[in-house]
Amino acid sequence: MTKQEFIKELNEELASLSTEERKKCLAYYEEAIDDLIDDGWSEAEACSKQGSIKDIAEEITNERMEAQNKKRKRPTWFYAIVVCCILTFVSVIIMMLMPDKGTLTYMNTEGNTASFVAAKVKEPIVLYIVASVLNVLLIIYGAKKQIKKVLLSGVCLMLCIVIGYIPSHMNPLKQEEITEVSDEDYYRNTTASIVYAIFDDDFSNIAPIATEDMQFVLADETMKAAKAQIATDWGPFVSMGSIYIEYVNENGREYAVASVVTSGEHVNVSFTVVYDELRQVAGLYMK
Amino acid sequence: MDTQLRKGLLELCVLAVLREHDSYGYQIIKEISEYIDISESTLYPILRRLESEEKVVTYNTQYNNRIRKYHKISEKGLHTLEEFSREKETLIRIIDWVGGNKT
Repeated sequence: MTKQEFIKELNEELASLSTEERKKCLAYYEEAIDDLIDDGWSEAEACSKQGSIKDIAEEITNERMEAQNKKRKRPTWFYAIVVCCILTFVSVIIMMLMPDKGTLTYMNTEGNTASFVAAKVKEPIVLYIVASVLNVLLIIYGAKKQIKKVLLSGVCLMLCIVIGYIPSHMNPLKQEEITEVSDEDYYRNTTASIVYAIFDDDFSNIAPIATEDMQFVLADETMKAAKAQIATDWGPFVSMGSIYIEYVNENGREYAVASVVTSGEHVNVSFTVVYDELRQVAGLYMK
Repeated sequence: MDTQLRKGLLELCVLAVLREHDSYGYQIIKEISEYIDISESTLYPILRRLESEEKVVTYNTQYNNRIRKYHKISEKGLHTLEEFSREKETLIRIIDWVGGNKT
């Protein structure tokens, strides 16, 4: 058999391979035959030394099947981790996008209103930790089995988590706003603000921090009428005594009661503000 | 020799040859033949497998007026040989035991 015949027949037998694969194979055998000829063998001998063409083709197709099967074999736990990673990652994103809860309108002593977060924003730390651990596992698996794709995606997800973690901690606005106001301070400050507001006839700022039941009481007409019952004209605010805070338990619920004696230019008024467990104004008394 | 055993050993043999120097098909066969029988048709699938596992890389050179494909061992390939080396003692013990010379 001549070299050309050998190559031609081999080419036909390898029809099932991709063009690239086939070319590589033919080049290899052509080189093998040429090397034998260089060594002194005849063309026919060099060809027959390669073995049967059918066997060669069979061996190669078997190898390809084995290689394909090998790639498919991934342990089940690998997929489990991938799914967990994706789920955790998605929930981390959702947590980051969720708006802060518990925004209250708080009046500071100058009477200006500012929004701040009354309760500490819940950090999804557990979520970050779980996501990071799973990602580390993914990275280790990728490194061990030398699968670049797995390694790269693990590193990328890790970066995303780190990047997502930083803003929620470095955000200066949030840092200032998350002041853990002690209960007493809150009640004192809020009570003072309420007193100023009432003296100024500015009741609209109290409504947001009051319960629903209180909304009617805090309506402009109701409040003005209540003020009139105490004195026709209170005059501007003059001074405020100390604010006393007491905690009472009624019907199994905790309330904070703040009382303070104040004086306006024309009248002395004593205020009692009741706060419920959610720090909302649940009661207001003036006399 | 058992086919499976041969296959495993031959892969390592090819890497061992390439550890010393880059080489091409015919030369690899000659060097391995000193230790174990191997034919062109056996070698080719092994070379392809090593290439797909990235343990071996290839490059072409001119020889006379034809192209000769050279194979070169990669870091991964060297790593495989290192791992094998580490298990040498264990392997020798197994071979002795299976072969009937218990140590």
